[in-house]
Amino acid sequence: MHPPRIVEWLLRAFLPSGVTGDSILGDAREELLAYARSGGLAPRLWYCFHALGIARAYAFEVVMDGVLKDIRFAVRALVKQPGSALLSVLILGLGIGLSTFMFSLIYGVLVRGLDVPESDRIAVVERIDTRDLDRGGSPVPAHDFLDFRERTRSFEGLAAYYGGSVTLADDVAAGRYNGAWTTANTFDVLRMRPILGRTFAAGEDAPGLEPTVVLGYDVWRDRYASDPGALGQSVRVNGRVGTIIGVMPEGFRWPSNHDLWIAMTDDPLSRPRGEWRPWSVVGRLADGVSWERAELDLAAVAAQLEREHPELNEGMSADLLTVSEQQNGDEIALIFSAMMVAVLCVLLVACANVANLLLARAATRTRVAGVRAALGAGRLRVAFPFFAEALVLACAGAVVGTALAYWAVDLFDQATAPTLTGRPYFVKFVVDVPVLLYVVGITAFTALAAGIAPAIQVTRADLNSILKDEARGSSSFQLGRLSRGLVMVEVALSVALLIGAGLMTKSIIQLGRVDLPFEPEAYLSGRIGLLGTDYPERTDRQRFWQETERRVASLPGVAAVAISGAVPGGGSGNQPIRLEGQTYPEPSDRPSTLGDIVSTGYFDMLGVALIEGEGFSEAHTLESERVAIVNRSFAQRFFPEGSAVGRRFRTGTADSIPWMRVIGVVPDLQMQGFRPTGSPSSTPDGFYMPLAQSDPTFMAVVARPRSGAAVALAPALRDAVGTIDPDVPLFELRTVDESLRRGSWFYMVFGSVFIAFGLAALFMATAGLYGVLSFSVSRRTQEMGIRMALGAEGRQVIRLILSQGLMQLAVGLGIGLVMAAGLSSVVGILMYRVNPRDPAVFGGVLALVVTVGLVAALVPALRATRVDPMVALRSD
Amino acid sequence: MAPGEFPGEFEQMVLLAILRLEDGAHALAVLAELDEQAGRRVSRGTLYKTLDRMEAKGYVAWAVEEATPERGGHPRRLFRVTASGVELLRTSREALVRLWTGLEPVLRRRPT
Repeated sequence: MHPPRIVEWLLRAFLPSGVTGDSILGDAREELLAYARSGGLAPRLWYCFHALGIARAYAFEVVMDGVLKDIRFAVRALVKQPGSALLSVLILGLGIGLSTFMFSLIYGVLVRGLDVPESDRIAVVERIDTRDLDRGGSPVPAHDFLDFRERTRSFEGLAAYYGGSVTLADDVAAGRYNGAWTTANTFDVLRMRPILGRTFAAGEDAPGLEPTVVLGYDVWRDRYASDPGALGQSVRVNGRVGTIIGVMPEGFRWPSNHDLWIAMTDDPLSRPRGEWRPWSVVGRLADGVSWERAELDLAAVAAQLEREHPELNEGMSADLLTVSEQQNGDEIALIFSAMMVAVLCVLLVACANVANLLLARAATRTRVAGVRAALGAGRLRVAFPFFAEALVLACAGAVVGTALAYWAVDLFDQATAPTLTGRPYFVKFVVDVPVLLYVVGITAFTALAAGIAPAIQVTRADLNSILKDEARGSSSFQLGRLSRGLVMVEVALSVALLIGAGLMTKSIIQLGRVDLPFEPEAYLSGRIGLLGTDYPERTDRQRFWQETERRVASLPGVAAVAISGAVPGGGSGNQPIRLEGQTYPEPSDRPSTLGDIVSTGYFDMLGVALIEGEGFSEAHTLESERVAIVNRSFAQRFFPEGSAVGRRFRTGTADSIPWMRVIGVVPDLQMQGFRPTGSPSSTPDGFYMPLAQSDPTFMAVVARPRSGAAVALAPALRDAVGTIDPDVPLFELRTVDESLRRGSWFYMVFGSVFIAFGLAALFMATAGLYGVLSFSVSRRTQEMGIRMALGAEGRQVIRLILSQGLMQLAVGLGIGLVMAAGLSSVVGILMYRVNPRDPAVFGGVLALVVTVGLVAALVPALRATRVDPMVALRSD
Repeated sequence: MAPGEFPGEFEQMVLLAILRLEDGAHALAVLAELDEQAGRRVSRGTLYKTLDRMEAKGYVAWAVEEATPERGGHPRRLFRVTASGVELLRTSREALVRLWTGLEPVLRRRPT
């Protein structure tokens, strides 16, 4: 009777090798045979039972003795060669650190989500146009919301809200805050409890009631000095008397950096359908309801509404999104994916490097492994010591990497602070438990990736040749192809990443070179939006703009004021135009350029002189001929010959739109703002229309003080606008400089990140090339010695070594350039005024990599020429 | 033997069993002897580990017996107690005898 093979194999795996293990196997066989006379299944079961018992007795020893011994041995071996070990730890640390950094970012933006209980059940409802799905979702009309709330069954609750500027005033002080008007059930839907007082009670959002206010923690701390007595206090909310009823916990600023919440007492039913402002809608899925079922439920109600109100809802449906989906456009996901791919490439390069270094070490120990294998040790046991080294290095690398990531994530968090970038309050960049779990996973992956090549090589090595011939044994070890291939991959990846980094660097330099003919820090700007409900007539709106300009101008501290569509230098809108005398068969044939609306004093305020022609004046009214001022780039683009002044063009497609005559040319004032390279509106050409001949609803007020800092004007400016209409808020009140910085922060931040990636990759490729070549030189010491003894000159030896290195370098460069071309078009959206195929950057990176590669190859080559033939011949 | 070192109870039993088996002390015989003479049934794993441990300490040694087909071609080890193993047993026995001296009446007493 033969024992079950698998059990015997298992037993053998745990037993010590040699006679001891063999004799125990023999004992087990003998016992089985003695017992087998009884026949049947019983002896086998009996064998299994005892064999597994013996295996278990030895298992502990195998693990503790084998694995730990291997690890201890690996540590000792690594410490003996501190240079190469330190390099490996540094390389892996960099790789793990960068990938952890990137993971923290992605986790923070795309995964962590709202900080409310069971946030995965929170859904955002948006209205979508099924005829134009590319346009994305929009808020839900108020009447539709009420119907959704009544007819859907999939939600525990649906809440609506809208944001706005809130003035809280009492006898002591007035302050302006970012507020949200919400339905009474909002806090129940979010399952958020106040730290003080209560949240809205059902019915507190009934039309006509006095406003009830729940304060955010910061407002309570700053305005009320954390006084519990704030509860019940009466306060004027945008002029209406209301009551403070509660305080929310610190850090809660839903939906997006809001300071306080007011029960909305809107009464949309008092108006016909479609005549109330749309609301943002958030809901919590009811228990047991799947996401799909809720979507179906919502779509079904939307279809009913489409049938009932075709005039408003034709083609309209509703979409269910996660909060993260709503917050993050496809662009962010694309950028982050590109960056994650980049860092994983860096990590792979790191693994390839360390694998190479380990291969080099493994080669010198092939004989040990060969002897072990010859003595009957299993594959795993022969290979594990090499894994152990990779594991030790990866763990040390993880420590370095975590420290690196911790620092970098903190830096990134500060660089993208909500106050600067408008990042939602719940998006946080921290190294916390999920991120650390990622570190553990990626470390295991790293150890495996770096250790697998040496381990495979060792177990594959030909036993006979290793044992037969000392010298041939170690050098017949197939280091060659695999590790040379790895170096080529490294060079290629670093070329691609470096070119990305180079383009980013150039983009940052361009940003610093932005040359405006005015000083942005000397101007204060604030934005104003007029609602159609409050200002239905064009004349009302025109009067408001005129009044604003007049009142601000009359302020004692103001030297000049103007009203414009965009903050100067911050980027105007893009629109197609038609030139007089040109025909455009297709609407898409019309050229596109930037357009803005400015008040008469705009260019005077900025201190910009006209290059040609004249400026806007009081004479340009709705009744007079339409006029425009164009910038230098516009004149050069559309009227390359002769003067632009006197030429005519118009916007839109209808023939009823009047022509505009160009009356003046101004210098370029960066009308394209900070739009990335490749964006259709990133070219500087554009035109200006006078405010009096246009009818905008959203404008910016820009003012320059007589003296002192521009920010000092803020309170006066706010008061001036407030006296015209207290319900029209002045928002984004900041210096023009600050506005421009907010428009360009991400070039800085993401550019720096890419530069770090590129430098890390360069460091790794250099280390890799050097490592492989210097190892190959050391393996060929004997050969070099013989060559030199036979009269080869140093030059010839250098050429021999270099040619090997240069081959790898050349192939890597070629692949890298192709990859870079692909990468640069993806990261184009992150670049400012840089050609994604910038020849200087491509050339510079090529030169850099070739230089660094040459040095990395030359050092081992020179070492080869210094080989003493006598030493070489004696060495093995 | 390190001065002052005493064997564990089970180690002592294994050493004694090997001595009693004289020339036939292979692992399975030791197992049977422990069962028959001392009523100790131990798992094979425990016995093998104990033997390994005592071999490492130098109390037992083994010789290889020729492999036989019924053992699947695997060799058999015949254990013997080394001089230092015997020395260990002697010290242990002397210590125990000294400790027992004068305590015989205790053994005769019946628990109440």
